[in-house]
Amino acid sequence: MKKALFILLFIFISVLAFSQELYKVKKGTVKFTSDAPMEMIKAESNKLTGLLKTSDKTFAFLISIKSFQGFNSDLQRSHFNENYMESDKYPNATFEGKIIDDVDFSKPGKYDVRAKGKLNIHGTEQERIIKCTLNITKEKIQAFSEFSILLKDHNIKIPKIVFQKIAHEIYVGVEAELYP
Amino acid sequence: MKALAVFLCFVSLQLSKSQSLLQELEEENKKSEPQYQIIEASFKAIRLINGQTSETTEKRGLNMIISHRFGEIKQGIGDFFGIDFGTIRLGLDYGLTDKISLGIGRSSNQKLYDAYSKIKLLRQCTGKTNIPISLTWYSNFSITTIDWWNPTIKYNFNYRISYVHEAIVARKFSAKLSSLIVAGIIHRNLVTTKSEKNTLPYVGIGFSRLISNRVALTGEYYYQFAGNTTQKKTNSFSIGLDIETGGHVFQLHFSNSLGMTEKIFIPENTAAWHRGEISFGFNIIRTFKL
Repeated sequence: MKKALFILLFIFISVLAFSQELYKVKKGTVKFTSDAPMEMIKAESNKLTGLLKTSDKTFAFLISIKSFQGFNSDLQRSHFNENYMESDKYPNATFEGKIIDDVDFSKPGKYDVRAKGKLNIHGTEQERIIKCTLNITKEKIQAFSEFSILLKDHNIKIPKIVFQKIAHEIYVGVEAELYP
Repeated sequence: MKALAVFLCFVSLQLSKSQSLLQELEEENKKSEPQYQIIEASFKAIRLINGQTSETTEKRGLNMIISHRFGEIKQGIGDFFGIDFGTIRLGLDYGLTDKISLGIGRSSNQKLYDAYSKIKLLRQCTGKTNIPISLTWYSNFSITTIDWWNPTIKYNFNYRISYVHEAIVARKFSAKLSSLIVAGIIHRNLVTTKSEKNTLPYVGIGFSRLISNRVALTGEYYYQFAGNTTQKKTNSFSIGLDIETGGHVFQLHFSNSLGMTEKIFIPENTAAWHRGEISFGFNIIRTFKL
């Protein structure tokens, strides 16, 4: 009898370990801009997905490269996928890591935090610390961030012929709404 | 007993950390996968070499096609390997929608004007809906405007007209390899000899194989069904290289056909590869967005 009780207790503990506070992205947009001397390219995607674990401040974000729309023509978008991002080989860009500043998720308010983690684009990972603003309310968490990416950091090659048409540093903006 | 208790506790806590947050996210995303993902860019351009690919011009896009065929290389240094002689076709292809495009062109060969429409009926896609091939319909109407060979006979204007209809089935097998099969029929209102048929069915096959991000090896072969040609007419076979830069695709190739429209290069070739009657040619396709 005692044995059965013990076993039940351990199962109960392991179940508790799973049910931690997990926020999920319900609305998320990523925009990027390439501002080069001869051409301006803008694109965005509203298919951002992500999870945030409030107990240990860890997070994971993922977006499909093929979901970006905008561009100056369909041909440009096709080249973006086929030649530059090689989205058949590397379909997603991800950011996985931990918030390194203190945040009290139970107290509503605006928090400026730094997210430290691995940013994986075009199959190449970069350790990044990205500044982000969290707006915590009772129902949701809103996250805003603006940062830039160096194409060479992620092995994205620009042929000499289009040097003046594609910027080497791309500005990225992220907006997400997370719900428990 | 106590040891077992501690062990079980340890194991259960470990189990709760076995999956990373990113893996959990990827699993959740798989559950809500989109209905379908359209396979894009099966071929680098709307034309393969002489023939069509399954691609059409994007909505409000304009493709300008300049095609050139030189004379036979075996003419030697005298005619600079065929460069002294050439035929040219200028064409425009406009995308009405993402699936329908309209085109016009003029070839110096037979002073032929042609107009066509190309419609994507099926697009290859993966996901919950899985379609393994793309199907494009191509219909071309052309008029020759050279003077008749016998000025004393009164020819009917209709004799100048020809029609082509093709169903193009294509498949992108991998990021590097795409191929297509064409089933078509050409009707020429007037043919040169009695043994030639006015209505000719044919098939074609073609492929495009990427050898680097921007360069592809291409090849095509069009076969006329036996019994429909005179002994002198040969089937069109071509091999080429596609070089893509920004908004241009340069297509360089060797072929036994001098025609750049179906009306000429399918039923009216007289040159043959086995006799060394090969011509060099190129297409330049430039894409504009209106």
